Amino acid sequence: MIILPIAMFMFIKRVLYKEFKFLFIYLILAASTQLVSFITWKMKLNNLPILHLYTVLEFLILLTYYWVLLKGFLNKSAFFILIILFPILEILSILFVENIYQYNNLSRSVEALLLIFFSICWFVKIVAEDDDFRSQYQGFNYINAGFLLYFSGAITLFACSSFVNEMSVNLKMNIWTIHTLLAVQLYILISIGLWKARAK
Amino acid sequence: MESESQVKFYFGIISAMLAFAIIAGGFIIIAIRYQKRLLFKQQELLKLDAQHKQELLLISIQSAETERMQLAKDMHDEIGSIFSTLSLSINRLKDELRLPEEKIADSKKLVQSGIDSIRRISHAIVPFELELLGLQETLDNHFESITSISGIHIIFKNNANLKQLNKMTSLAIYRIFQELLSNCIKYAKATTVEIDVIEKDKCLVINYKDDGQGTTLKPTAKGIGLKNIESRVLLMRGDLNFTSQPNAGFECTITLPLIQNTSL
Repeated sequence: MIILPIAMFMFIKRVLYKEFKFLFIYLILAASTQLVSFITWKMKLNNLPILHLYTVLEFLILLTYYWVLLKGFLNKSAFFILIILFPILEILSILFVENIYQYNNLSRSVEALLLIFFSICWFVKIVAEDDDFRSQYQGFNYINAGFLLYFSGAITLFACSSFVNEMSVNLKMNIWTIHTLLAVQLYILISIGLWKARAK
Repeated sequence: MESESQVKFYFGIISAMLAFAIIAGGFIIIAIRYQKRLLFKQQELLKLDAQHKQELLLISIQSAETERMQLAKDMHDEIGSIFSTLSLSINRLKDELRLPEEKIADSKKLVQSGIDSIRRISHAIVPFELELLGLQETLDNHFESITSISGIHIIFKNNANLKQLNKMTSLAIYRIFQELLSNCIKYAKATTVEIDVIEKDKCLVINYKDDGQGTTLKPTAKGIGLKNIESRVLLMRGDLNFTSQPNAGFECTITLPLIQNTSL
């Protein structure tokens, strides 16, 4: 499903705003991580260390994306602090809280919480900003709605994933299917957003 | 096998996931609806602003026409009557002093020339015949007088029913031609002007073309004449396009929707 927004991006990249390059990097990262995880899963290897690395990279890319998008709306130094603090949090959690071969509940939940906050900030910004801004950036609404829905829905799963992993395969599969549905809606909304956000 | 606590936990997680997603969805709907309402208000304001500008434009054109009318009327009535009285006075003087006709012939000629000039200028300022003769004949007369003054050959082909146009639109079209031909005389050094008027898709389409020296003027840097034409076209909710190249003449297409500009 992630192929859809990537294909959309490739199709209309010439007419997209510069803010989207970070989104494209995010999509490429997500697609390659999914591919590597699938290969390692097939090889019956534990692929959770990839998730730890992915979480940090995903957060840094999306943070930069929101930094550009929310320019002038939020404190600049807060973004710099987060860029430094989040990787430190991940390292500390690997060292003291979770094993690298276990699901990274803590950093994943913190990431989700922060990205929920940023996507809410976007909606606050479009209401607070002037009219020109509002009509120009309508396509971003879809993308932010996708992130807000995905991270809001998945935050409980991220926080409780250690417990979920101890459940029976059947229940575990059901819960992760809901997560997949949330991811699918994210990719669909990103694709719609990209299409709508074509620069006129 | 799933234990009871596992199933409870399972439903708890799913409920929490759904609840958070629903809350987020609700927030998104509220934010987007609010945004749409703001956009709607913004569009309404823009519409009002455009309407206001249109009204201002209409008022300014109407007041200019009223002033022209007053000026033409004053010239025609007051200065014209002075010349007529002067003519009568000369005749009376001739009778009283028993002067031969040839002695006052020059003076009478001058007075007649003054009367003719006043009539010509006042008619140029306001086309009084527009109401009496209609746009087609007024334009024919105007083109004839331009040809006689400047020597420009004007080919006017009309395939539209100009009688259906309302008074304001007829006057506006007359003014547009006045402006175009005035530009042509002043700057273009053209020898031939072709004017085609047709009706197409419930619109009146006016094509103007001259063989003059053209202009390098960009559409964004129009002169006062072209701006006047544009204002009038805008007021009639029409569309104006012109193309010109140095030494390649000047072409202009004006499209006016008939539905807004007819007297019906």
